[in-house]
Amino acid sequence: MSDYLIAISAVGLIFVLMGLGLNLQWGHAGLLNFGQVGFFAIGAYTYALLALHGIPLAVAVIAAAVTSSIAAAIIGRATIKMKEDYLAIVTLVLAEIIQLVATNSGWTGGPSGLPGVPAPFTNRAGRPSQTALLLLLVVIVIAAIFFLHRLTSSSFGLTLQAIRDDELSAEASGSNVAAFRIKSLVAGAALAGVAGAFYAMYVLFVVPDQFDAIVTFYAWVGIIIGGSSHYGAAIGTFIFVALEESTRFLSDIGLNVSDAQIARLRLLVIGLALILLLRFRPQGLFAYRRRLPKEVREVISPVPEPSPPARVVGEAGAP
Amino acid sequence: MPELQALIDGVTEGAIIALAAMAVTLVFRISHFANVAFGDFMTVGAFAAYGVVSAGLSLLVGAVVGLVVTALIGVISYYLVFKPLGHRPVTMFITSIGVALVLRAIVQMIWGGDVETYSNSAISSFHFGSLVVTVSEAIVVGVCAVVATLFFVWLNKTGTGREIRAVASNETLALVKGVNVIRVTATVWAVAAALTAIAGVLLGYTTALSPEMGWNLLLPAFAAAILGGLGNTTGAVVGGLVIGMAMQFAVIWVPAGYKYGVSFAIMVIVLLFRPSGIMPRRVRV
Repeated sequence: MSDYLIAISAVGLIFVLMGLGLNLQWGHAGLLNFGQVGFFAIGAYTYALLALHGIPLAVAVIAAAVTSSIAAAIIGRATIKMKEDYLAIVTLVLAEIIQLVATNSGWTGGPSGLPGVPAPFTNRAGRPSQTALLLLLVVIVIAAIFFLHRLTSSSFGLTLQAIRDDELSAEASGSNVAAFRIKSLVAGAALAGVAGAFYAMYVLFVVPDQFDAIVTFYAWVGIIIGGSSHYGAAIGTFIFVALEESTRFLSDIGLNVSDAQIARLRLLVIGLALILLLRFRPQGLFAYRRRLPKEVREVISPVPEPSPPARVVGEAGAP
Repeated sequence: MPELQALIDGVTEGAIIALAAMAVTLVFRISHFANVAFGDFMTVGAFAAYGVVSAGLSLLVGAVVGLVVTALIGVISYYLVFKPLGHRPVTMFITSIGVALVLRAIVQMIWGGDVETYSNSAISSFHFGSLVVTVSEAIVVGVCAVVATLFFVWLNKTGTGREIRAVASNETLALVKGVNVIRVTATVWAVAAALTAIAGVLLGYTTALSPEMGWNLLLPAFAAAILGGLGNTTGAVVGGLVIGMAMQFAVIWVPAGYKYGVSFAIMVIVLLFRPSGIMPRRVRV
C-alpha cells in the first residue's frame, strides 16, 4: 500500500512541477500553451541521453531545464506577438513535432525509446530508492513554489498580471510586453523540463508514447481546478493527477478492468473536467473567497480572457 | 513518375483535409475560435457509418447516418457546451479540447480501440502507364467537389447563407436587422459537423478507421485553414489541397514518418510570415 502511495505521490509531484510552469504562463501571463508536454519531453530526453552517456545526474537535470528553456525562447521569439490561439496551435504543433522526431530518429531510440535511464539514490543492488526520490521532489516543488511566489510578487509578476489583464495599457505604461511574455514562457518551460527529467529518472525509460498531447491537459485540468495561485495550481494538479494515477491500481484491488478501459476512462474524466470546470467554476475550486463588492465581481473575470474576437486576421485585418 | 502519383494522392488527401478545414474556418467565422473537437467529430462520423456498415447496410446509408449523427452532436454541443460560455473565445477553445477528449473516449468505449475498415474487398483501380488511380480516390475527389460546390452555393446564394455572412461580418448589426443569431449559429455548427463527418467517412474509406484518425488529421486541417486565412472558406479549400499535395510530395524525399511534420512546418511558416494566409485579401467568403 505504501508503495502505491509513494508511486502516486511521486508522479503527482512531477506533474505539479509541470503545472506550476503552465500556471505561470497561463494564470499569470495569459499565454495559451497547449504544448507543455513538448517541453516535458525535451527535458526527459535530455536527461535520459546525458545520463546514459555518464554525465553526472545533477548536471543532466540542469541541462534538461536549459534545453527546454532554449526551445521555449525560440518559440517565444517567433510567436509571442501572435494572437493567443495561434500561440496555442503553434505550441500544440511543437509538441507533435517533438513526438514525431522522437519516434523517427535513431538517436532517441525511435519508437522503442531509451531503456535503462540511470536514476539517483540507488542501493547496492542497483535499485533506486523511490522514497528518497519522493523526498527530493517534495523539496524541489516547495522550492519552486517559493521561487514562483517571490517572482510573481515582485515587480516582474505584477507587470505580467498587468499585461494579462490589459495588454494595451501595460504597453502604454512602458512595459516591454513581448520580453515579459517570453520570459514567463521560458521559465514555465524550464519547470516542465525539470519535471520531464524527474519523470525519466522515476520511470527509468523514455518512449515517445509517454508524451502524447493529452499529458498537457492533465496539467491544464490541474491548474484550472486550482485557480491561478501557485498553491492552488500545485494542490489542484496534485489531487487531479493522484486521482488519475490511482485508477492504474484499480485492477489490483479486485476490479476487473483492462489498461485500455482505464485509458478511456481517463480521457472521459479529463474531457468532462475541462468542460464542467470552465462552465461552472472557471475561477477554480479553491479560488480566494475574498468577498468583493458585487459590482466588482461582475467586472473581474477570473479566467483571463485576454482579447476580444475583433483581431481576427483575414477580412478584418486589411490595412 | 512518383511526382505525378504524388499529385493524385495529394489531391485525394487534400480534398478530405479541405472539407475539415472548411468546417474549422466556418465556425471560426461565427464563433471566433478554432474548434479542436472537429478532429474527433470526423472520427465520430466515420465510426457511426462503420456501425451501420457492420450491421449489413451499405456504406452510402452509413455515410448518411454518420452525417446526421455528427450534425446532431454538433448542434447539441453548441447548445449545451459552447453557447452558455458566451463570447469568450479562449474559454471556448480550451473547452473544445474537453469535447474532443469526451468524444474520443465514447468512440473507444463503443467500438474499442482497434483499427477497422469498411470492407476488405479489393479496391479496383485505373492504370495509366505506371500511374495508379484507385476507384476510391476518384470517388473521394468527386464527392468532395460536389460537397464543396453545394456548400458554396448554399453559403453564397441562399437566404440562410446570407444570414450567416451577415452574422459573421457584424453580429450586432445582424441581430438588429432581425436575424436569429442563435439559430444561424446552430445551423453553422450542424453544417460544419456534417462536413467533418463526410471527411471522416471518406478518410475511413480510403485508409482505415481508428479512434485517433480525426485527431491526426486535425492539425493538417488547422494548417489548411490558416494557410487559406482563418475564416476564409475558399481559402480553406485551396489550403487543404496545398497541404495534401505538400504532404504527399514530401514523402518522396523525406521519411514517411515526417509526413504530418510537413503540414506543421507549412503552418508555422505561414503564421510567421503571412498570418493572414495566402489568399488575396478581401475575398468574398
